[in-house]
Amino acid sequence: MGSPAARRAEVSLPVQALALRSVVPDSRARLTPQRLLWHGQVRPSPQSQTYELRLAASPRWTPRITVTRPTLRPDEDGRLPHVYDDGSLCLSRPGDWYPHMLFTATFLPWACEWLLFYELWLATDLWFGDGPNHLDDASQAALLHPFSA
Amino acid sequence: MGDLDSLIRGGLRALDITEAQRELVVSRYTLLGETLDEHWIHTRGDNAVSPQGSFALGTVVRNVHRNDDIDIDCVALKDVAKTSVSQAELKADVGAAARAYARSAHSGGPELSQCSRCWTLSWPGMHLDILPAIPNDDAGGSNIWITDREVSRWLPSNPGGYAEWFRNRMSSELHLERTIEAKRLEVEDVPEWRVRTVLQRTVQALKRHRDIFFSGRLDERPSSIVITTLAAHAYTASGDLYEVLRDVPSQMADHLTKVQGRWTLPNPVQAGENFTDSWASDPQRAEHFFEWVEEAERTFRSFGMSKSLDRTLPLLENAFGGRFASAAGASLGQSLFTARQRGQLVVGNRGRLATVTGSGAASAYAVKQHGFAGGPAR
Repeated sequence: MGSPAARRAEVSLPVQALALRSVVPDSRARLTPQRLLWHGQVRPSPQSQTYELRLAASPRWTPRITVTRPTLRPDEDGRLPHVYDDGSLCLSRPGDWYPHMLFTATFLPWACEWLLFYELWLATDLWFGDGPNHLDDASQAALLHPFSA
Repeated sequence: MGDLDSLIRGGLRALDITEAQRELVVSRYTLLGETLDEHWIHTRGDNAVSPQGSFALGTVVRNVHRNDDIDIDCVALKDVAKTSVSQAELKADVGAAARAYARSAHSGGPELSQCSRCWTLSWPGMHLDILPAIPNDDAGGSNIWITDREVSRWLPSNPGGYAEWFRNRMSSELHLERTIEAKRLEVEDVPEWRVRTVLQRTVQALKRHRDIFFSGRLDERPSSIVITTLAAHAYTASGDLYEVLRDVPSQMADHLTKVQGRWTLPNPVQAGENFTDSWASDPQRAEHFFEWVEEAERTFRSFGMSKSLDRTLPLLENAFGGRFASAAGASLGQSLFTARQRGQLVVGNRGRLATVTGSGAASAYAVKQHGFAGGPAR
């Protein structure tokens, strides 16, 4: 058994790759039966930098997204908001994504959101991505994690 | 989302007078008007206190050099003939009434002080300048006489007419903004003060940039009336706020003329009044104006060349101050968060994020809800 969402037909990796290329036309996707490796450049807002993303996915697993260029800039203690310690972006919580969902409606825009919040964080030391109730010092400190590129 | 237009709007909203402060201003000058009317019971009867300047124009910006306080100008009109009162008597008379008002129970206990030709009531966070005036019966309409700085001569003035002229420079946009706001709030009509047009926002931004630019030498600032008039002349009602702000400074000086060696900017509703009169006796005023307007043009253009929000926000802070930049960043952060929460976030070509209004995003690229997490490796 599982939730109704979990039982819906999963989107295959080739379809995920096609959808990604429809949003980022000059991106590159490499497919094997068990793996999708995608590279693409995104610019989340007109005032934002262009970032190169790398997305690695296996069937039914949440994909791993890293920023390959430019190098992300952690704070002076070597920390960034919402990253795993392998350097990938932490963009979801359990239950946010199921295999029937397109990356173009989930991980790709979530990464763009992360990047926009990241640029604001660089300028203001505040991460707005968890909402107005998490702007206090304790909440802000709790979302920082050690980062290594 | 995240474009310069919305960033600048987000910053300027933090320099606006709040709705509560606006209500307080209205209640204070209304009560002051009632006190004056009782005080002037023997006049012809049309005594009134009415706002003028930025409050009447919808271009108030907080005073960065006075704790971000609100400064309001108003006219206290005593309805008597010019022959029946001297300039000094009128000023003293308004002072007496203002003192009575300051002592009254509902005034909030402001302090009263005076400058050369006006009186100032000061509450914490707010200052109300009261300019004594009488009707200009010769010219009629909204024309009035005010006193000069030496309180020895009558000078013609027409702040009501000027506000009308300014409003006409943006009338179609004002109508459109009110319609949009009414639709957003799902009401039939919204009052004019509730909306800000691109011209009003442009004037606010120019005044704030001037205040920051002349920090430490405030006496050298070009006057608000000069900036407002030139901006209104230069404004062509095309483009978003950033585009207008980028273009207006380069065209403001085109509306200054030199007549017999004197810089001239006529009051559009007061024939014979030159807003740049003081530049003749103090030519440095013109130099300061040109120095500032060139810097404003350079600064506003530089925003468009920035290629990262973490560089844009410090540029905005240098130009408009910390309160503005913090609000611009927070406004973007909060609107992005809220749009996603409400299901109104969409992703476009190359990851460009945008919002859709209405019942939610139905497009294939509508962004699904999620939360950020993070920590140890999976």
